[in-house]
Amino acid sequence: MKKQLLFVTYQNEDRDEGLTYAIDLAQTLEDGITILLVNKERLEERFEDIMTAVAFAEESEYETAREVMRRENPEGQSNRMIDQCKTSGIEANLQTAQDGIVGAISGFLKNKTAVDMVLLSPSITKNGNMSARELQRLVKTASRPVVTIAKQELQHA
Amino acid sequence: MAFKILVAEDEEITLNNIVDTLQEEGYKVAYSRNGTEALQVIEKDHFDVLITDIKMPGMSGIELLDKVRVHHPETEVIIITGFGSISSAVEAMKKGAVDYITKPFDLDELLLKAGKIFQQRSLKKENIALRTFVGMDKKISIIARSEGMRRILERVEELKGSDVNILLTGETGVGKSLIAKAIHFTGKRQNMPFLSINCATFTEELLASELFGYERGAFTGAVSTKQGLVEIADTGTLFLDEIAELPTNLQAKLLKVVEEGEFYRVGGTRPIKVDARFIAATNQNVKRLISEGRFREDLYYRLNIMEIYIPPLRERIDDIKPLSYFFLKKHLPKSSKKIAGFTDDAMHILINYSFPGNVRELENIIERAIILEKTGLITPESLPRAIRVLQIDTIDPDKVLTIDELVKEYVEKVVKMLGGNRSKAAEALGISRTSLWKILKEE
Repeated sequence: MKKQLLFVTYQNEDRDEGLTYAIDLAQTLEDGITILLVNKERLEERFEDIMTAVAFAEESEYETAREVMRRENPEGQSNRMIDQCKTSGIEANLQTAQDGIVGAISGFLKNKTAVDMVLLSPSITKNGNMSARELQRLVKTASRPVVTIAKQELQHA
Repeated sequence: MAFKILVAEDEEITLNNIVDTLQEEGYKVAYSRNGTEALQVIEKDHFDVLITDIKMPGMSGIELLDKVRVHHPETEVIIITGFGSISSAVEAMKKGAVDYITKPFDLDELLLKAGKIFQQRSLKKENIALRTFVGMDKKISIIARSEGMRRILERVEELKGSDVNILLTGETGVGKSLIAKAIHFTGKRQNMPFLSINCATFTEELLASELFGYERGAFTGAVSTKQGLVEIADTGTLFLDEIAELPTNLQAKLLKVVEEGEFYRVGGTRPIKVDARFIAATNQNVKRLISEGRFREDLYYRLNIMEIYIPPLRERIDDIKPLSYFFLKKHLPKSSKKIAGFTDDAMHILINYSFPGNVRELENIIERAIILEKTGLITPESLPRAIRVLQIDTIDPDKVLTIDELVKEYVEKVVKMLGGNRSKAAEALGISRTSLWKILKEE
């Protein structure tokens, strides 16, 4: 039973942000990675996509409009994440969960003692996607170190 | 562990003589009056030596020797043979007896022969100890500038004269195995075997075989008897890493060893006595696992006579700089580069990073930076891009700070930064000196 890092990310276009960091860490710790994809389709995101497509269509940029509306096959992108791990020599597997990030993670951890720590992708921590209250609740229920990965400006170059 | 001898002899006087002499010498002795009985005794208990007469009613000494060599090869056999029947002694030696004595025999000669085997066994054990040290650096370097690590080293120092079982807790990569080695190599058992096993890396069956060994024929592929780590660690220390991953079945078996110093090999029917010290380690909250029924409470208390918590690297920031220089010095000779140290910016990034992978991660970062660096100092560009462009914070579930604690910690940092000047600190924080005093005095 190999130790695992649990990399949690939302099923959206930013899903693989922070994965490179998780891979680096897994290589250091000689751990595997379990990617937990949480489905969270935001209505406003979908609405934004539609409005963008309409804008392009009005300008007769039909191909681009179609491109915007063509939601990428989630399975394809997830497989790429697994491949990225495997190319780096990291064992990886993928799990999916429905909305409710805290419940999804807690449920997953309940019977998985092999998980070393929980890594939250920037797709979860940015733009207030996760409230401080939710994070607090997660930290208390996870009983593992919770690592938050967020984007930042380069401050000390 | 006491040296155990089984004597099989049908002549009452000879038997009494041998038993009394060996017991007076301090050996633990059992006896039987025929071969069949001897075989039953040896099936139930472990013996270092069997001293057997050749001529006995029922099963002869030679038959007994045959059976013991096959089923209990770790037991050495000395044959007693009548004067004039040296040919049977030769046959016995060919079949694997270690020595023989002829009747009527001198008891001193018997003691000498038993003593020789005892000495050989001790040498074998020392040899095992030495083999476990091969490739292991007994000179252990522990960097401890922070208060937390200094306290741990003080505790290790206090434990020098003690032999209690210890539970090491702390996140992955904090250096639990290093502390385990430090405890062993500074303690009473330092010249005896030090063995370690990671309970998370084996399946249940493999782990059972590794820990407790197996008897010949216990399962397909068990072509010969194998000693487990518990048995090899006799008189020494066994380090059980990731103990929380130990399956429930094996927890019960381990409890018996820890409690009674006794265990059975896989497929074995005889208890084997050992005197091993146990150091266990985990990065899990064992008390929580106990409340969920996944870890035995009795085993936890037996292993946790003394608990040593090793704080994560982010809680001992004072260690980051000396550790970085330590790893630089350690890995630099592998390259042909001349790197004198770190730029201030690089050190700033390292000190502000939360190191979820702890010391192990820091070592890896420094090793990689040495390879990438083109100047005479480690610069931020040689550090992993992720720790430069992403903000990575680790929150410990067992140490969630309240707002008051957070405020106090921040105020203390500001006071420290301003050289202890409270007036300046109050001004910088935009609060009155009275408020600052109130915050700092709160428990």
